[in-house]
Amino acid sequence: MNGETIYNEVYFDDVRVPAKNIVGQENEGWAVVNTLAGFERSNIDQIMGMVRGLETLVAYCNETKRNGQPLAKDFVIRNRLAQTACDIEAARSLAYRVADLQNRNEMSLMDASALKVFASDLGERLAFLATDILGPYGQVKFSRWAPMNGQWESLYHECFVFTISMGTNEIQKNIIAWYGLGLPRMK
Amino acid sequence: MDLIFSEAQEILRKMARDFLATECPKTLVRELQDSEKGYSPELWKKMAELGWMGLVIPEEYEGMGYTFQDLTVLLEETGRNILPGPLVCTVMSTFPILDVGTEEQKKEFLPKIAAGELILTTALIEAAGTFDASGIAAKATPKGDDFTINGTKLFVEMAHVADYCICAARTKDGASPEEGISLFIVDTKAPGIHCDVIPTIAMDKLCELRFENVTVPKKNTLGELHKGWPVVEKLLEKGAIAKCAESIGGMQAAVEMTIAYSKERVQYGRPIGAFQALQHMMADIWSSMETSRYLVYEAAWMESEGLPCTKEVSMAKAYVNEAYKYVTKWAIRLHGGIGTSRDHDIPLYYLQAKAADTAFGGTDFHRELVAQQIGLI
Repeated sequence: MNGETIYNEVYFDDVRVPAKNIVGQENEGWAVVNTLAGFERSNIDQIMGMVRGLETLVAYCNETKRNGQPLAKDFVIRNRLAQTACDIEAARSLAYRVADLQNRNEMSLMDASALKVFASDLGERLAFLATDILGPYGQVKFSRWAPMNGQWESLYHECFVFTISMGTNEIQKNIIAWYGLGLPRMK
Repeated sequence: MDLIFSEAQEILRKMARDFLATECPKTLVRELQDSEKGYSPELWKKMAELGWMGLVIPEEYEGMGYTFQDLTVLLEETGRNILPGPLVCTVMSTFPILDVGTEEQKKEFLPKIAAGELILTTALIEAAGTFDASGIAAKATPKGDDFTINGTKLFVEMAHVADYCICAARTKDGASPEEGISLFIVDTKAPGIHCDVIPTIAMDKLCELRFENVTVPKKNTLGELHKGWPVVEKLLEKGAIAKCAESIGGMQAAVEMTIAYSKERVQYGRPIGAFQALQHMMADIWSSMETSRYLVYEAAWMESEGLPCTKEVSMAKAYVNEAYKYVTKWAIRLHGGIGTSRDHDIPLYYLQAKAADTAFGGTDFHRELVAQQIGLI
């Protein structure tokens, strides 16, 4: 959507792989994939990116005036930024929990899935909030007119990636429901 | 930060859970909420024998000497079960006495609190309805060595059964609203005090306390005169985390009940928990509870370690206020019609969530503190 390339299609035509390169047991690859996915879902990098992003947004609101006062003095903007700060801290706390479990070689599919959903939805909310705050500048691509190097216009495109990749958020909720909460699957 | 609880804390948790399940079933919860007193003196006595009122009072004052984090473990269980009564307001009132009380005041009040012989509460908020210092208009004027208090406090928890209340009043005008506030330990039976119970959504006996020329002896001035606001701020911080701990316990109960119900309630030929729309809602409320949990644990640990944590505490309170309301709203909706009945347990948590929202600061109050803490000018 934004002209960047992240994903690729890879074709395997009779590719030979030495037997010593098999990971885990033959025919048991799904368990390995699930473990890998769990690690990916801890999302600590995305969350810390949001911490940094919020800092730049706060600085922007302190420095930028609209209607004769800094954006930081607008009650609605303050309230929404504070709410986002709380959400980011909640995500960070859960990410540390997931990391702690991984450190102990324990894996909570539920916590990892919950974190993936929460952090990706939060990234979307942050992109929407930032581009709202920027007003007409929220649509401007990287250029001399773009506040904060156009990072929020860029995130506005990219935020969907995290809600869809590594298993869509809806699939994550199925995982929580079926494997975590023990709810029955519809046949 | 330690992300797992100690063995001693897990024992405390289990003991509290088992005790409350036996001694305070939901039938008693509803009975106490509907009653005039709002708590059970028999149950209060049993809790005193377990050491709950004195949990964070040092052993030298006949308390248990536990940490603030230990207290939040206990309060998670009282929130999970729902425990009508003056436990939280009494325990919260011990903190200002511990912080700034004289040795005489500590010896006079703390052992009796630990023994369950005294019920205390705090009288802070007034008609303005804000926990900001600007909301305090009650005045305490010197009268010889004593003070005379005039003013009205609102939403004073369990004041109708409390023996003493810690009252914040203005003793002088200051350059800012935070200056000139003093704290007093007021005998609730003193002449001039009038108490009425305000009918509230959670029937938790929040009271209007009117002070008409109430005399407070000098020895009951708590802390340094005119410098009470920082003590109030610390109390609000601890109270916010205490309320959050109760709230995550309540969320846990609501989520568990909802999932269990969805597996047994059959409609259209299958358990309603098999419908994906409902499964996703249950995943959402579980996730909301889980994200709340670790935010609260982080803030509780920091508070317990004496680390600066104004930002983390306000973040937790602002977040959990909304999460608890969200979780319990959907818990009711997922129960369908039965979820709206007074006889069912799930609405109890929905009402607790609303009460918890404003206690020790509502969402917007704490979001403004967060806004300041993250650097907004």
